Amino acid sequence: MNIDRWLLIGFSLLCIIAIIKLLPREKVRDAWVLYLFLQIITWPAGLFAVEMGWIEYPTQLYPKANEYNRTSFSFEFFVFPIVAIFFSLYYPNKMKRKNSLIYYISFAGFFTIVEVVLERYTTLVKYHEWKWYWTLISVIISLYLNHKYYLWFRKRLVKVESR
Amino acid sequence: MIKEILILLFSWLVSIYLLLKYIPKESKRYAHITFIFVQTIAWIFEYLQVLFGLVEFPFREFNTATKMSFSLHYFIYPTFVVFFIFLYPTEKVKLRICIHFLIFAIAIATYSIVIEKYSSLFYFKKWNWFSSVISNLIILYIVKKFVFWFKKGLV
Repeated sequence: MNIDRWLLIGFSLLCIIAIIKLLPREKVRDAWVLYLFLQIITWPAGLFAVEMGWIEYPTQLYPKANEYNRTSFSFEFFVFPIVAIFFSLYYPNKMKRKNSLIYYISFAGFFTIVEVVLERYTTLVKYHEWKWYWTLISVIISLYLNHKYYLWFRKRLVKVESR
Repeated sequence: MIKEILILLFSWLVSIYLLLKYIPKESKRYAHITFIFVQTIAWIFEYLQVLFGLVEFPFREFNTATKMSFSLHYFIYPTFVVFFIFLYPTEKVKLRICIHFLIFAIAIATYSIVIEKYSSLFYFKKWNWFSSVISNLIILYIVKKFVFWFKKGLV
C-alpha cells in the first residue's frame, strides 16, 4: 500500500484518539453540533473548488474514491470537522479582539502549513489554481461561521446526567 | 437539462417554503440538528449506492467533481425527514408509529421513482421502489434514534 495512504490512516486515527481522549463526556452534544454544521459549508465549497479545477486529491483513503467523488472525504468529513470541534470547545470566551484573531490564525495557520507540506511532498492534495492563503482564509471563515452558529445553538443546550 | 433544473428549483423552493412556514420558531434548533444529521446520513448512503453501482445520477449540479447528486441529498431529503420527526406521533401506539414510518418511507421512495421516470436526475441500475422503501425505513429509524437522544439535552 502506498505511503500516502498510510498517512491518511494515521491522521484519521489521530482524530479518533483525540475525540476519545480530549472530548469531555458532557460536551458530546456540543461536539455533534460543531461536527455536523461544518459540512453545510465544506460540502458545497469543496465540490465547487474541485469542479472549478482549482484543487485535487489524487490519493484518497479508499483507493477508487476518485472515480466516484473527487472531493476529499477525509478532509471534509473527518479531519476538518474534528479540528473545528476542538477549536470551539477550547475557545477562550473572555478574550480580547486581538487575541481571538491570534487564536483563529494559529488554528488556521497550523492547518495551512500541514496542507502545504502535504501538497509538496505527497500526492494527497494537489494545488492547481489554489494558493496556500486560500486555505488560510477559507478555514478562518469556516471556523468563524461554525463557531457563531455553535454559540447560538448552545443557548438551549443543557447538561444531562445520562448520555 | 432545463427540466432537471426546474425540478430541482421547484423542490428547493417547496422545501424552503415548508420549512419556513411549518417549523415553529421555538423548535428551530431541534429542526436544525435533525437536518444536519440527515445530511450526513444521506451523503454516506448515497456514496454507498454509487459505490456499489446501484444507482446513477446522470444529471448533476457538479458534473466533474462528483458522480453524486447534490441538492437531492443536501436539501430535499433532509427536509422530508425533518417533517418525519416533527409529525412523529406523540401517543405510543405501535401501529400508529409503524404507519408513520411507512408513510414517510413510501413518500420519499415515490418522489425518487417519479423523478427517475420523468427526468435524468436519477437512474436506477439495480434499484427499485421496494428497496428504496426498505432503505428509507432503516435511515428513518437511525435518525429517529439519534434525534430523540439529542433532544434530551435540548430545552
